[in-house]
Amino acid sequence: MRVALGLAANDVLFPVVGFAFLYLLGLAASFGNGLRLLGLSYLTGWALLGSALSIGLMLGLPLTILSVVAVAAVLVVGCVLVRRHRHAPPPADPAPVAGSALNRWITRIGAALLGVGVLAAMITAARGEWNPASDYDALWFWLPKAATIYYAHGLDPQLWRVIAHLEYPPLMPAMTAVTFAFTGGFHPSLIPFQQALLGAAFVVAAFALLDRFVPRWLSIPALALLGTAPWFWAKLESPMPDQTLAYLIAAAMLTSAIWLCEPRTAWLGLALVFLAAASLIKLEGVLFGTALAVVVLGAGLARYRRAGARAGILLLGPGAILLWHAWLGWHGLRGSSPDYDLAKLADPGFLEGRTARLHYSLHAMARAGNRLLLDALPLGGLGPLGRVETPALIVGLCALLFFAGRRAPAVAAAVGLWLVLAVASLAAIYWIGYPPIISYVQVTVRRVEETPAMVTMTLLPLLLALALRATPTSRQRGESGPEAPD
Amino acid sequence: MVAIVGGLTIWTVARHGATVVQAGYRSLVGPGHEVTNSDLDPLTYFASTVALSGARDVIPRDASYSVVAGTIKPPFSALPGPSLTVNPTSLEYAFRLWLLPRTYVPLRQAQWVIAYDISPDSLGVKYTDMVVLGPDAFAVKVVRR
Repeated sequence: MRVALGLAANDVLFPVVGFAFLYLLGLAASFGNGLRLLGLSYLTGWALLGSALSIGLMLGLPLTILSVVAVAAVLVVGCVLVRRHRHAPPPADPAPVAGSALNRWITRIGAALLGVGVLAAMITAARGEWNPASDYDALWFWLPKAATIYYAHGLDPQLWRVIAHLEYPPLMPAMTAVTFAFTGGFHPSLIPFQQALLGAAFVVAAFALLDRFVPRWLSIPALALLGTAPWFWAKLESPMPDQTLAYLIAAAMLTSAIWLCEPRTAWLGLALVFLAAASLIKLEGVLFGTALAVVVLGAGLARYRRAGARAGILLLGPGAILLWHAWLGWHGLRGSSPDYDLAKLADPGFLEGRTARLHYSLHAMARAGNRLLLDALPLGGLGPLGRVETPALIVGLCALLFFAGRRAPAVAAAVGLWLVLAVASLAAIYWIGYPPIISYVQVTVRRVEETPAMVTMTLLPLLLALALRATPTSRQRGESGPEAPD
Repeated sequence: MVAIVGGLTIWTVARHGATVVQAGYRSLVGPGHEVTNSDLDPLTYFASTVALSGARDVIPRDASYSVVAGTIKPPFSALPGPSLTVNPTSLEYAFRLWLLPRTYVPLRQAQWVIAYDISPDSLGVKYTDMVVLGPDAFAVKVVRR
């Protein structure tokens, strides 16, 4: 009973904090009062509370039930008080575009299948066990870090020092430790349920965000494809942070793309929270987050001229990692990965002798990325497409971006550029990495490629709607006036 | 066109979703798990859960310990269950996770030593207490001068 109550209390905190933040941004009323608002609130609250607790731990905050509740209360009260002193424009009501009878049936069947799939996934997660054999790194260092935070009631540099990959930031272990604290013990078997809940919240949140711009006959089937994709489902319960990172980056990209469609600065505030959490969860989050902030800033300047400079605030997200490096440095701990040294990117001699690693990793990443996307899409049923697979997928993606770009060039450019930068930054890490390339790629490629695949699948309905000119106009969304950020 | 793409999409979701629903149904009608058992059981992949829980009972929370593994062919590997990934590294990680907040240290600094599939007498340390944790697994309290 203690475990169930603790888990419930833990899981109630996230939507409460998230709702307060959406209220602060003036977005809470944009998503109705039902499941859509709950999903987005949960994901937002998880990211915000996780970031706040991680920073608090670095500053010496103890991790106990009391301190977690206190931080959540401070966030909620702060959001409410700040909101009362702000006069933001009233939120526009969602206005889904009506479709034909066929479209409505596609929507209904897609929603039913997605709902059944999410329910089945939650049952499996609630009644199953964690699997250290498939998530070896969880056994090796992710769960030990969480247990260390739980038992030491905070970040203890002496205990942290003896665990592998101490350079990884603490958000994921901190959130796992929060679950241990609320349930009164070291219970790794509860983490799959927590992770599955976060995955379900992500799918619902993506639907909520898309719903004002994309007709449901496009968004629901597309999200159902993502939610039942074999790789999404396989990692849904994983205590590893890779899929969580993918949720956060995809949510940040989606909210940034929405800002490029709709001039409300609040979307940038939401993207900032997702980016900060992504950067405090894993080093790849800093790479992906920095690339995202840079491309959205560029696209924002092109779209809104000087007013687009507001997107510069997104750089604060990946900047959160500096606090973690300061904490590591303060305690004399290594801040860089033992697997690579970023300074080597500026060493032409070093790079020149390792071009075979670059070629190998690019080929392996193309193969892995193709499989992830094709496994999620109806084309996956056709089986391996051989040599045409990569060119066909690239041509298809470029065509989608081209047609979407005719309606919203800033969105298409931002998504396309981010994908290129994300893949290039991963290839660069493989290029300068020290581990033997074959095993390095073999162990990591499916994990790291999941983020670009998740971003593509999450943005797919928006890009399709733009390409098919199926997005509602500003007037249909209840907007008026010039397209400049508020 | 919409009908073809929509049909293909629904077919794909249904095909993928069937696996998810089957797993959910199997979980629903299958036996439930106690949380404490579910925490420990998956470590069967790497080590004897009897030895793991025994070591947790025996070694004080503030003590340091080390793990020394022998040939890693324990008798329990013949039992039915998941295929074992038994090697000294994964065995050590399983103990290190399960025994937190006890501190893992090198053998020469340890207050307690878990001798796994190896005789405690061949550890090269003097010990006072010896507790049998399970088949071929022992915990010994080391004498430090």
